[in-house]
Amino acid sequence: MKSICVAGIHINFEPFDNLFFEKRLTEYLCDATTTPDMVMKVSVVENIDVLQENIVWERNGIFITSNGDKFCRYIKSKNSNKIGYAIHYTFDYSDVYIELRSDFNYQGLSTTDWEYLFTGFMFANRISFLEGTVLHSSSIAYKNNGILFSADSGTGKSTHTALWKKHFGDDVVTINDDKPAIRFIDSNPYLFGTPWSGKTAMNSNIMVPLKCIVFLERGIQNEIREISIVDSIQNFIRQLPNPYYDRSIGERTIKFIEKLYSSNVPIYALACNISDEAVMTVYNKIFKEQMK
Amino acid sequence: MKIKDGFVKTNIADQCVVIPVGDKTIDFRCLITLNETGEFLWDILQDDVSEDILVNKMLSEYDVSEDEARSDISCFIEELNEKNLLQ
Repeated sequence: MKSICVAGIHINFEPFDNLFFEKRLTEYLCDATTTPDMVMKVSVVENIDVLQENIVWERNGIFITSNGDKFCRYIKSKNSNKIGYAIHYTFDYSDVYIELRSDFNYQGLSTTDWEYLFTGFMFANRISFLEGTVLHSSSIAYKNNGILFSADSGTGKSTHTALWKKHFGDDVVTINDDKPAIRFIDSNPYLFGTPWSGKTAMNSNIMVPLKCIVFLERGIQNEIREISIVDSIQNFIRQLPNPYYDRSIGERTIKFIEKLYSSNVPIYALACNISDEAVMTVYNKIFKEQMK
Repeated sequence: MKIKDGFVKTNIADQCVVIPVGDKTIDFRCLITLNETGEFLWDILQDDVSEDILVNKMLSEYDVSEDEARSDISCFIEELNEKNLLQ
């Protein structure tokens, strides 16, 4: 069992693949507490039994059972009809237990891949109960200013933030390359690193004030503009938690978006290519124009 | 008729947007934007109501003729039906 603190959230975490998580969790280790905000355990097992509880939702081989405030989501393997995984969780995700069948390789992913994905999703669900969220983005701090670059996978978020690092050197710290957290503290939004940083272990356990959010798209030329409300909500909904299996998370995400707007954090749309000019286009908008 | 469960309305900077949540995200991948009248009707349709009730409520709220109200409501309902939002 590891005691970690991610975005100020104390988690008693017992992963299955310790080797994979060891490096990612090192920065987040903290003193054990008897009252963690979340307990999360993962096991890889030979066989998963279905609890004899009420089925409250079912579709395409996935079903959810419930026993009051406790739930369990199962998936059946298409070929064998065996249960591939079971995620047991309380209504607020403060207590999560994930069972993965040892030969579960849905979509060609290994049990380590699924462990990484599911624990990240469960953390994202938990933080939504604690004034926070997780935004799919590559994020940096430039001189203690938190900047999030969000987009669909494969658009070039990491490529763009790598250009910032190359241009500004030590003035730029990579906070998280895939799933950073945002939390409100005393009504102000802060950006936090998390261990769930995608393909790379590029993350830092730091918090910085959130300066702005940039939705990135590929372009031939570099252009940044303030984004319309509808377009930004459309982007947020694609990149923030809104899972099919729990509408309360989607409702919390919408409340979070409302709060983000109330805090007046600037939100931009950036069309960019891979160049130094792309970095300066954003830099000039965020730091130079605001000083005028 | 009434709006199906699983859609959350939000107002941000005077823009009214409806967002699918939960398992509605599987079938509805887009947002719905509502103007002032659309939002008025959307709110009424949270309960099971008839078209006549919608017309009466609209006449008591807005300065429009019954023909105009019926026509607008009919278009709105048609749009909701096309998107499979009514039950």
